[in-house]
Amino acid sequence: MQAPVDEVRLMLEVGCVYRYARRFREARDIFQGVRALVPTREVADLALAGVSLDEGKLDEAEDYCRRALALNRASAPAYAQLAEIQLLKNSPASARQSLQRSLELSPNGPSAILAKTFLTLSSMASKS
Amino acid sequence: MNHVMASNGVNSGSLNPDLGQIEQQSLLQPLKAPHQPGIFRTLLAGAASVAGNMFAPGLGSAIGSLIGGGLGGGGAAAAGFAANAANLAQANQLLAVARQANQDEEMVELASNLQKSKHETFMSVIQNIGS
Repeated sequence: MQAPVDEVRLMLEVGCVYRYARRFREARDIFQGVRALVPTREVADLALAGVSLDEGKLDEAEDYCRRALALNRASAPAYAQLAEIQLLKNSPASARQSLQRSLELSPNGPSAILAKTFLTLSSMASKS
Repeated sequence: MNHVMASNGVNSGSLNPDLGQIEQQSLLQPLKAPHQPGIFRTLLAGAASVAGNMFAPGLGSAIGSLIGGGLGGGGAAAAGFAANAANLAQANQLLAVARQANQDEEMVELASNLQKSKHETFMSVIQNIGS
């Protein structure tokens, strides 16, 4: 089934609003709906990883991230998200690898800015 | 007989002939201008004050007033140094608070930028969904 792209985008944005409002159950329901509509795209898993991350469920967040990467090995945002989880799990070496991979895949753009910020944070964490 | 009326109106001249002279001196003394520091000393005090304040706020003023003759005696100097030490401690405390405030500001800015980057990254993924 081919889902209308605009509706999927709208669903994702509404899910984001719920996530930022810390209404995680509603956000999760929406993102799972998106996943059912577009099972071949990594975006829903990435969004679910974000929700799990906000909830503090780091293992679950990593699972979603790896699933997103299984769907798209060239997703720079997924690597950046994975790096954040690895940083929070106190694995700076793995995080740096993920960030390097993210920067290789997308040297410019929003994910690159995010990766560079995480690199700065990881170097700050290793100094202190 | 030398009769001099003291300030309290008592005729003291009959008691002691020298007392009248002493009283005259004591009446004249407050009218004399106090000893003023020389120009060099004033300049030196000013320079020491400025230089001292560069290193430790308050210290320069204390040194300057000491050199300039603003304070007299060891007790006054000790009081000046004690006040200066208190000023220094206060200045250090303020400096520490300012440093902490700067660090907090940087951390807030970093966190804000991070959240913004995360949002923009996710939005870019959403925008690319149709491609």
